[in-house]
Amino acid sequence: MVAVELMKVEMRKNWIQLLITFLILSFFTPLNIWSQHMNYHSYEFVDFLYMEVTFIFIVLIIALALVQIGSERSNGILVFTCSLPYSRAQIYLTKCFLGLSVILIGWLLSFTLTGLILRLNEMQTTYFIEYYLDGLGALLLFYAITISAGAFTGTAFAQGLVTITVSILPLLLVLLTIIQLDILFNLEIPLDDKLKNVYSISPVSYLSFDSARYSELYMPFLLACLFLIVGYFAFIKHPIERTGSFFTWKSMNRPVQIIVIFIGVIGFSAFGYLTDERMLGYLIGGGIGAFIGFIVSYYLIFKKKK
Amino acid sequence: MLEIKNLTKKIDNIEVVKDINLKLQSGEIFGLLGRNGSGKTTLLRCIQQILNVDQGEILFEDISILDHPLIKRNVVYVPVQNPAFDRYTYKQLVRLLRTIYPDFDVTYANELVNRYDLPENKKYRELSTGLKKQLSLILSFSIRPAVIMLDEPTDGIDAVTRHDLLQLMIDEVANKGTTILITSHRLEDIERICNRIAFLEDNQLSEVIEVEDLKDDYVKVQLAYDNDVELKIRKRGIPILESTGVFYTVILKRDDEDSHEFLNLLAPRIWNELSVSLEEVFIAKFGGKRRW
Repeated sequence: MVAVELMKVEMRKNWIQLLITFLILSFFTPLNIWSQHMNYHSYEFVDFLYMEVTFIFIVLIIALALVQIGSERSNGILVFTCSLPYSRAQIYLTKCFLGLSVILIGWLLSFTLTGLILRLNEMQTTYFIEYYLDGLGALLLFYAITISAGAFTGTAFAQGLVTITVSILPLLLVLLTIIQLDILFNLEIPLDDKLKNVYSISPVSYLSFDSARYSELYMPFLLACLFLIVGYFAFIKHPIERTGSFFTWKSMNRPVQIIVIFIGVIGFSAFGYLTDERMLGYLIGGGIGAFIGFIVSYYLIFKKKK
Repeated sequence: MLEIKNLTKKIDNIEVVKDINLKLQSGEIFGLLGRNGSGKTTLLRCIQQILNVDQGEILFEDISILDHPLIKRNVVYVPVQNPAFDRYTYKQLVRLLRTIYPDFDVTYANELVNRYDLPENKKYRELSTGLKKQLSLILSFSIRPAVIMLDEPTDGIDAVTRHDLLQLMIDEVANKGTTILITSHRLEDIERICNRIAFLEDNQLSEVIEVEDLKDDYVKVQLAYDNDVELKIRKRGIPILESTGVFYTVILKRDDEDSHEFLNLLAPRIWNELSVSLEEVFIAKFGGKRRW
């Protein structure tokens, strides 16, 4: 289903982004460790638990996916791509294949080079393999979310915003629901137990390496597959290239606006209650949340950008 | 050649094109006419699968384009603007298109670029509107497709460039037997180069008409009366192209005996019949809801 000629065109179109992503993914970590070792000869032990660079890689991956779909759609380039002798399914799969290849090859190269540096310099490590497996899951997950968001949205900005929202939404909704239950019904739910499960399905939790979730390593890979499949169907089925609109599916506008208002209400009402511990604060907060939710969603979703 | 069967496309639950049936013949230039927003571009984009169709079939040599997208190598769509080309020079575009279209004729493209003296090392976005259109057309012809769909190819360009573009199209059809489906608001261009046309009206396609037959169907009549009868003519729904005092120029269908009789009953002093242009027919056909 992947079209080789189309992949060449895609590479030619986005070669700068692809190259930068590949180079940074491949060489940042090994070069970082090597330079530390060269500068500080006492640097003989590398603890990957404190390797806080996954976030940078994720930002890079998101930018790549934004360029591949959102930016192309904003600039009208996707119309040209769709006019070429390939099906929409081939176009989506080729874009995904290219992005995923850059991630996989770059990350594998980074793993190999880092491993070689560690071995050749006889350096001790902790969580080396765990870091790379967890990082790979996170990279694939955020790439899948962003590319899938691109299948639903009409601009790069909308694609980015949907990516961020989807990443934090599960955690945000559960937290706010727990707080609301506590306020309205005095139901005190212990956060630690419940949040553990929510964390594993919240993409935001994969922004940094956490050795504790090694037993659930399959989760980001599973979620990535799910997002890619959802994006696939959205891309091949959506009715029109609504360039400049927030969503390519107009029917999503109203339900999403309602969700935004709902989150505004439960978020601000909880904040209002926690501020003065009275129901008056709760109601005022809810009102403000509804207003902000309405305004934000109206201008983001219903106002065409170009 | 290219055949469209019962094509329907809805956007936001509104039928933008409805039950379109059209069969293009090999080596013809076909004009697709209609007012702004009538669905011309949507129809072209549906044929090229830029938009998913809700219903219907698009066949090339009896093979479905929907099921066999590779067939689109034979059908090329040239949009009004092509921002995808912006970053590239002519030579880079040739390399890009050769990747996708193995039959891309570089020699022919170079020959045309030299003939029209187009800059080879300037990026597409740096070219003027006319040069962009010329280059798009040259590149699409060099792909060697059987069908080329041109969306407003002469829009926003000067008379000389327009003349060159039209000549290029005529040459291409005459020498290579390419079929061209063209939309344009410049009806004098359509009149000059098209064999057959169809109107998109109320989201549906009219019957296909030979340009010459259409012009024969209508007559332009210059009239002079003793009194001001403009209101009476307008109330009757007869399109008035011009009105100066008691002098009027109207368009009538030749077989519209009722209108002929009505105008005669108003006792004109002058009745002078002239041939019509396609633009005048277009105004008569589509101006009805607005002007009279």
